[in-house]
Amino acid sequence: MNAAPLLEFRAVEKRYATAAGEVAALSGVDFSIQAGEFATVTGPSGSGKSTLLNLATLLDRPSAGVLRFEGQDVGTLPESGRSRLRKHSIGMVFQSYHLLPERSVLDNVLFRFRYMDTPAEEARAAARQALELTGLGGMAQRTARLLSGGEMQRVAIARAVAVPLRLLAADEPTGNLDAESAAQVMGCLKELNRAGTAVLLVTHNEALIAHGRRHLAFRHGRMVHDRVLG
Amino acid sequence: MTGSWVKALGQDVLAGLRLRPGRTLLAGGAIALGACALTVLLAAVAGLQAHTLAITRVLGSHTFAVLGAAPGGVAEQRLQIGDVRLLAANLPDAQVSAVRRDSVAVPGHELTLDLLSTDENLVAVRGWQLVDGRFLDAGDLAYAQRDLVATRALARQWGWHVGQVVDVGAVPFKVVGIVDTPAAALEATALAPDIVVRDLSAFVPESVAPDWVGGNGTLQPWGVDAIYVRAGDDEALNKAQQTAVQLLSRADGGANHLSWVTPATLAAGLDQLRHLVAAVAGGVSLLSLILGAITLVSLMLANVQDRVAEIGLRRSFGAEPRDVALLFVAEALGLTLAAVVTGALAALLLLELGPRLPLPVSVDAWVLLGPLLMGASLGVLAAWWPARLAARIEPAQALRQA
Repeated sequence: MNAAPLLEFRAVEKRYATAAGEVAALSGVDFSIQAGEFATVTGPSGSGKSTLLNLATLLDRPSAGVLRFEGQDVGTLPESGRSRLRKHSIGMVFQSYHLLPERSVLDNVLFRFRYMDTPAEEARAAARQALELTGLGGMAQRTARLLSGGEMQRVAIARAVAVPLRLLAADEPTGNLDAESAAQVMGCLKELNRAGTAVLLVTHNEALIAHGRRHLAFRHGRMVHDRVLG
Repeated sequence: MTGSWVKALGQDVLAGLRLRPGRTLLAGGAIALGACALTVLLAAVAGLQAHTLAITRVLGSHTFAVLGAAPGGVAEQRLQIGDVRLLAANLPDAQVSAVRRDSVAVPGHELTLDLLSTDENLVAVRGWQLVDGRFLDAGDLAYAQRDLVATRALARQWGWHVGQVVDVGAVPFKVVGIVDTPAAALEATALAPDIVVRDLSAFVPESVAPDWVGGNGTLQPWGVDAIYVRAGDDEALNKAQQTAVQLLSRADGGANHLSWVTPATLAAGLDQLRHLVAAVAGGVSLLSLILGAITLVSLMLANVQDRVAEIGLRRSFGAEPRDVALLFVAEALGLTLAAVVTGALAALLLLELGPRLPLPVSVDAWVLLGPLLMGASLGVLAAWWPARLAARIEPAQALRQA
């Protein structure tokens, strides 16, 4: 028996109402991501990459088509159910990190547990383990705003993966970083993927395509190719 | 689990309020000022209510007082001893007593003494308690005995005791009793000065004083300042008052030359004062609270605007719209409650240590609970709109904007 894909887009469309009328951000998107897969998504600005990511992380709903997460139709799922999936199964990493600058590194990672029922000690242990994984074990008490860009992004990754995830979605995670920091961040993502977390990486940087085993390219809101890399 | 949830919410609230410290202080300050004024107002209202009860007790239950013109006023409008006898003769079911107040010097003391000339019925009519000895009796009145009954405050202050002979206006009197007059504590309020007995007061037989107090040896019609009538119950009291009005009425102007003091008239006077206090202090607190609420709403709106990314982040971590709304309601509640507690404590300190207010004040549970309830309501009301806006922010849009 075949297991359901982790993430499945079937004829998905996303339209936005603007002053000039309705604009299609995504049209006829069909693809699926399997558990443990590492896929990169590329495309020029306005191609619909970020919209795709918002749909994949259940932050937005499709205007048409079917979106499934582990076989469950999440396009029509009530907000409480979508929140529960975001809480327990999906992590996000952003280009601009979105850390709480005045709080410590550890507090930022613990923030991932803010809406979970995890006991405090368990959350603390998981947060420390996530920091170790991203090479920031010695910086737990540092104030977040004092970190370098690469360190901030690794804190953001640690925060995302402090809970066991099914899918980690990363939106231009190396976009603001120098080459060395970018390599460290990509190393973290690959390590997580090796441990079984599916990664969906959105990027402008063509050089990052090689890190994944699958490449999706978008243009004008449509998927123009879906290629498995050798 | 609940403890850590509360702790996390507390941390969020503190972090949120630190975002804009100036505006937080301004909103908190205005609310604290309002809460301070409100606490004083409630304490004054509670004090006036307690005072109403106390002053009713001072007058005596089922008792009314008739007051004539003050000494030195229009002579024809003064009550006379004959009026007292007229009432006593025509109100067989009631007890009648009268008092004349004179101020006399006492050798060895700087302060003057209120010498209250009266009869043997006063202590029963006013419902006072004897602390020691006895009150004036029929024999004192009939034989014009120079016996004296001191108030408890006077006895304590000047060291007078039963059996002692004291000089009052250079005339020796024997102290035969000490009486507790609860009105003494209310003296300073001046809410019912004519029926209040000052601390430094003593009672002597009304048959003694005309020969001696300020009379220069000439006997004049003996005026009294107040007549007290005590009946068995409220109905009998009303009846007695109607009869008294008829008896003391004059052909030309009825009984309007007299003042009639009943528990109801005293309560009405205090009610007027209470309304005045409520209007003034209530106005100040209302203005402060409106200012605080407006600043609080603007603070909350600014916080929502500043924290769009954080709201998106929270939503991406599984927060539901109601969790986001709760965050801003908790922030507003935290600020208002902290401000209210500060303001109320400042008010209590002010009432305790500050200059004495010209009003009775009393601190009861409502004085403490009232501002807290007000603060909680204000916090929820002020946060409602910003919290609703925050809850409606689309997480994808929030993260993209940031």
